[in-house]
Amino acid sequence: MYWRTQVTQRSACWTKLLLGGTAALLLFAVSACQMPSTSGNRGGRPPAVAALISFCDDGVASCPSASSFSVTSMRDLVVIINWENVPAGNHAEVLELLLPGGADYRVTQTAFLISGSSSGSFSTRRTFPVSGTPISQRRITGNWSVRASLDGQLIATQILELSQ
Amino acid sequence: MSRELGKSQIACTSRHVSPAIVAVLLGSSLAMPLLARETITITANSSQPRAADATINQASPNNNFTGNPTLTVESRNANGNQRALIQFDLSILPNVGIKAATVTLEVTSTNASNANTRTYGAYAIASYFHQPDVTWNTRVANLPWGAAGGDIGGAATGTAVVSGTGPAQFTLTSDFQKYYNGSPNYGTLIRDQAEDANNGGVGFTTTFGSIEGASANAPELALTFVQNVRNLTATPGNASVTLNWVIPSPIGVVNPGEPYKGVVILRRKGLPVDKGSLPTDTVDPRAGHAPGSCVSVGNGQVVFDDFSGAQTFTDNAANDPCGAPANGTAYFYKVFLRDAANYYSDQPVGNGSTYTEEIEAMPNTTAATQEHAVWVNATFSTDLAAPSLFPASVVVVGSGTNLLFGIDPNTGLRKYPPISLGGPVDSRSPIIDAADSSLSANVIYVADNDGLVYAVATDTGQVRWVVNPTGATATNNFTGSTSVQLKSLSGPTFTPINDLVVIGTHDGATTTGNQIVGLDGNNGTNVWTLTGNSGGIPPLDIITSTPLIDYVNGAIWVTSHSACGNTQPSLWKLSPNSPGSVLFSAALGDMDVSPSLTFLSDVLFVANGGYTRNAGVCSVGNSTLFAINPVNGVTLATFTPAVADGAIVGFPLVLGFNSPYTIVYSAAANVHIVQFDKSLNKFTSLFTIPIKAPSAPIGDSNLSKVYVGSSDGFIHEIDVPTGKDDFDMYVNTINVGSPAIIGEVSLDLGLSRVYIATTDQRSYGFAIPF
Repeated sequence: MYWRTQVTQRSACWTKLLLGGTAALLLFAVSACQMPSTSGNRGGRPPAVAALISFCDDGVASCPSASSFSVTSMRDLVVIINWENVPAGNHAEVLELLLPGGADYRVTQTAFLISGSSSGSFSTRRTFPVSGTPISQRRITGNWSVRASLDGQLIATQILELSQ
Repeated sequence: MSRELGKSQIACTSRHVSPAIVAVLLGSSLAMPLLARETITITANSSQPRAADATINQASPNNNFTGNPTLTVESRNANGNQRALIQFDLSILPNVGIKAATVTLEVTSTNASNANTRTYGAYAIASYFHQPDVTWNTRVANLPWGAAGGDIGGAATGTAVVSGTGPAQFTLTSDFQKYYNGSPNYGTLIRDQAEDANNGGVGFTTTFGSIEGASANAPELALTFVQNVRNLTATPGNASVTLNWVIPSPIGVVNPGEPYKGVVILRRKGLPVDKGSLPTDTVDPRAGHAPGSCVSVGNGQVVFDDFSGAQTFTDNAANDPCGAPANGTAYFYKVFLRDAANYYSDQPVGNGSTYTEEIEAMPNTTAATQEHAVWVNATFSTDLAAPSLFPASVVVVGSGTNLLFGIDPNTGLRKYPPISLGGPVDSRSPIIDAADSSLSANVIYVADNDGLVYAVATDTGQVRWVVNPTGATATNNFTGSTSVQLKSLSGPTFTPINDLVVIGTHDGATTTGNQIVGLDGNNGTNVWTLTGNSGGIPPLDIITSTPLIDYVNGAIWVTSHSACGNTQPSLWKLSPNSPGSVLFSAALGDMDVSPSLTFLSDVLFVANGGYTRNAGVCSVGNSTLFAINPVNGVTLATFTPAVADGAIVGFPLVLGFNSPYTIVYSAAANVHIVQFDKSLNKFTSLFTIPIKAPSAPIGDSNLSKVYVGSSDGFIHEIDVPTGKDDFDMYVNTINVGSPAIIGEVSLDLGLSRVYIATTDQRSYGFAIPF
């Protein structure tokens, strides 16, 4: 499955390269089209972009990470995405917070720049109010999910349990 | 080469040559040339309210460069790069499916040449920016870009090679299809693909015609599209549903030989046809199937496949190859307009098409049991706040995808393409009509999770002004709505010179330092700010509610959390006048509920959430409803139901013109109707109506009914005098997150309709009484 995804993505990228038609674009696109891989940095291939999604409640002192929360006590849901192996350049993260069942509840974009000298790591943090919102007032409980995409490619998904 | 000739060639290339080139480059066969029904070219100009452009300059990173006759894109080392931002006003095309989009910029000067060509890339901007403020470093006021130089991601969507003056063309079809498919449209950024060039110390500089320059050189956008049908209605009968629609007149240049020929209608039982179920362009969905057979497209059944230009269809046993609609079951219909080449009114993109016209009806044996929506409008995101409303004029629906939808309440059609904001909108925003507004304009004041406050013209979707009212860059996180004190309705003690917009912050990182701000409604400038634990103001926790304007008592009422205790204030009475002051505060426990006043403003009703702290965790409990004397803040009476029912939702609805007042409120599992007698300062419980996770109720003192959204997929119509759950209007059942959660209801007494949004990512209009 990973390999299939990778091939598809590379085809798309080569299309862009052909259409662009310049050496500069070619270099940029090769860099931008790397896909996740489970094999790490072998054979000179740059390591795959990875994202680690974590959650906490900013109503709890020091906002400890957890994956299950109660809608009756949660103040704000904080979603932290730690990006690794991101190639140098401009990037746009899309964070989707999905209702149980899969419909979009919130979709946010965050842009960031990875400099050429960077290790390719970057962290984003988004806060979604819960207390006093329909999540708590209408008791929208169950398995929510959070999807993190970078530059249009889905990189990671994480389940978030909200209970009574 | 004249510009006109150049543009002509561009149009030809875009529509007939480019696909072939792509096919050759890909080494694959694109058998069908890109044909479509209509094409229109939008030339940006300064009279278009939603058009914008600017240059951002790395060498002057804090300066705004707008209003110039040209846009500059420069590649230059030593922090000398420049980039251009362009946004087109798409208002002329609110209800279309995009098939192709090409942006043409006129190069008015360049030091590129045949020997030194430059490749420029076009990128979809990823964050909201405001033209009058935007700089290399910041996008709105003091809010920085995520990355200096503009927020973009990945590779350019389209590129153009420049070697001299003349047109430069960018094919941006996928970007514009996304804008018409639920993604925010923050415009396009143009930059050199190889920045930081030296070139003898002068770099490479190209100027393009701008919106403010000569119209012959202004940015152009050529869009090829298929319109949606208009005025779609559904009338249920006995085992039948009759649909009517109007095939629109062309608004662009018609592609020769491709008139609109008819429609394809998909039907689904119980819930909407999902966005991924759409006919494939150039293909008739019934082609190759036996006559009379039932054909499906995704999860929709093809119940009508017409080439005759019909504008009506009755779905019944005689006409429908998939069978008559069953009585007592709701059906959703999605109507795709098609042209002669079988291009449909949708976005042919991988994640499906959201904005094709839909409608819903439930047939049954008698007229009294037949149900139907007046309109359905897909918003692609969940927002359970009541739609904003100016009766019979406009409905505005927020979203969790940073979009604001302006909808014609008569037809359900978008009045203009969605307005892209900086963040999600959680609440119902106030709409002020021009006759009352100090702006003399129809305007909605919106606060978003991005921490910005906007004044948006509801006629055009233009952002009149936007401010970051506290200066914070990450912590406003507005959850409640703004309230507006109208100058025209205020007495002489109201001293602000214009309408006053009031909003409270939701900074979850502090329980004491939140803020309430008053803004000038005409321009967003700060009138006053109250900050918790500062300047003598008591500590102020998060605000999730909407302030209440009290014209009679000359005050603004705000509720807040109180750090999960009963010592910190949670009810605030404020002066509207500069410099802002706290007239009164009370510690009544954490409050999420907005306050309500009686018609005479002689009693204020608020409720806490019954929050308690156990083992360090603060949890919501059972509400207490308070009746407050709004003059002196004295608590007149309290009420809790005999059987605990959790926290009150939204706000208490107050009905009646005189005491005893009727208060209707929703809690965890019931809608409660209680009476408050001011002469006795006493609450009396009248009715408790079980409804699953109800929304806040809406009603009017001149009506006997109130309306409540539920988590069971229905809108409940409650008869207040009897406490009967009269009639439940079916919205949908199964849905993602089964069944759909119905949001708060808006009541349009002008058209006798209610409007709701649901977790099925749609908004609906229904006629009342049910």
